[in-house]
Amino acid sequence: MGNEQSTIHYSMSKALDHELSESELESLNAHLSESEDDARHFERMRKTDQLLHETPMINAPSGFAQRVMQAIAVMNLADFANQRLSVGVALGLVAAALLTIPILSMLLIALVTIFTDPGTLQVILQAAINASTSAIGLIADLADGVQNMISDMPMIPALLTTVIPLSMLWGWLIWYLLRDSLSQNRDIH
Amino acid sequence: MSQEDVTLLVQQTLDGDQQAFGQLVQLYERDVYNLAYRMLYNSNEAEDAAQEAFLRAYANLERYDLARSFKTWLLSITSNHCIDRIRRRRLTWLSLDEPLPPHPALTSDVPNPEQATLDHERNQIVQELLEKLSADYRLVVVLRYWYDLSYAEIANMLDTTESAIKSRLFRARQALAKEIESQPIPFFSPVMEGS
Repeated sequence: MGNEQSTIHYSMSKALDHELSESELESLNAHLSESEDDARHFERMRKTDQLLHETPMINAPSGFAQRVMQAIAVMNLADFANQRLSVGVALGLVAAALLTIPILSMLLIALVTIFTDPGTLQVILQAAINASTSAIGLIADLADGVQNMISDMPMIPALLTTVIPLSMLWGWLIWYLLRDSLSQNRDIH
Repeated sequence: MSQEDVTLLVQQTLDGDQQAFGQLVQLYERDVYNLAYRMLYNSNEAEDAAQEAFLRAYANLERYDLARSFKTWLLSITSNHCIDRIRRRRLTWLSLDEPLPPHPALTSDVPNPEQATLDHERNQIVQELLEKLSADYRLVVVLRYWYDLSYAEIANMLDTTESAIKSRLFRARQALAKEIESQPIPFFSPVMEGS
């Protein structure tokens, strides 16, 4: 019964779209003349359809287009700022490239010195080994220091347990803010 | 304006002519704003949404396929944006009891006061009915009735099938008919008697 009624209601919807064949329309009319409830339902659907068809579009508020164009002008300024940022990055790269020249020169001088005087290589290697030993000792001292500090100051683990959730919160906030630009990208297809 | 003229304006905008986009905004502001208002039922929010839709269109104009209808593309951007706004509303506290202000376009740009009253009343009834529908159903009703789009066009816009759109419209019509049944308010009397 429910299924049959749903089919009839679907036919009513099709009738509103003028998608019923003549025979289907006749069959629907015959049913409506027998069923008062369905006839009332169809009348309500038809009148709603008519109401929606007759309701006019709403005009945009006065000055809307002008405001959009002003917003676009501001957006273009932001683009310009981004371009300036790109110029900044480019200048940074040029500076890096310029710094590369003296570094490479120093390396070249070092290589030439090594090849012309093999004793220098031995001195350099000895210095590197000493530096590595010192660095390892420094790291070990640092680890000991941290360990002592944690045992002396129970606040450290407490701070860590605060910092981790706070970092997670910041991560979520950053994701939330970036979500807008991601969804905007999705909307344009 | 023909599709060729619109395509020319799009090309000019892409070539850097901002005035050309201004003409496109003027041409489609009513379509975009009406869709936003029908979906959001708040004039300030509708203006924001319509403006955002145009800004997104401008920023992504190079992605517009010239073979498609520009109007449909714009409506598609507006629809997605409005649906997003409706979803976000759920996270925002809104006072639903606050009465909505009358829409300025219904009180100013109309030929005579009687027509203005009739249009205002009709719009209010229609909006209150639309508000009863879910955003997805409301969108299909709006696109079908105010933009006269075919099922295929709506399906293409919303990236779904024609039968899904037919089904949504059928269910929306059922819901609207039931809503009218449960509210035998002065619904048809002032608006429909004369029609």
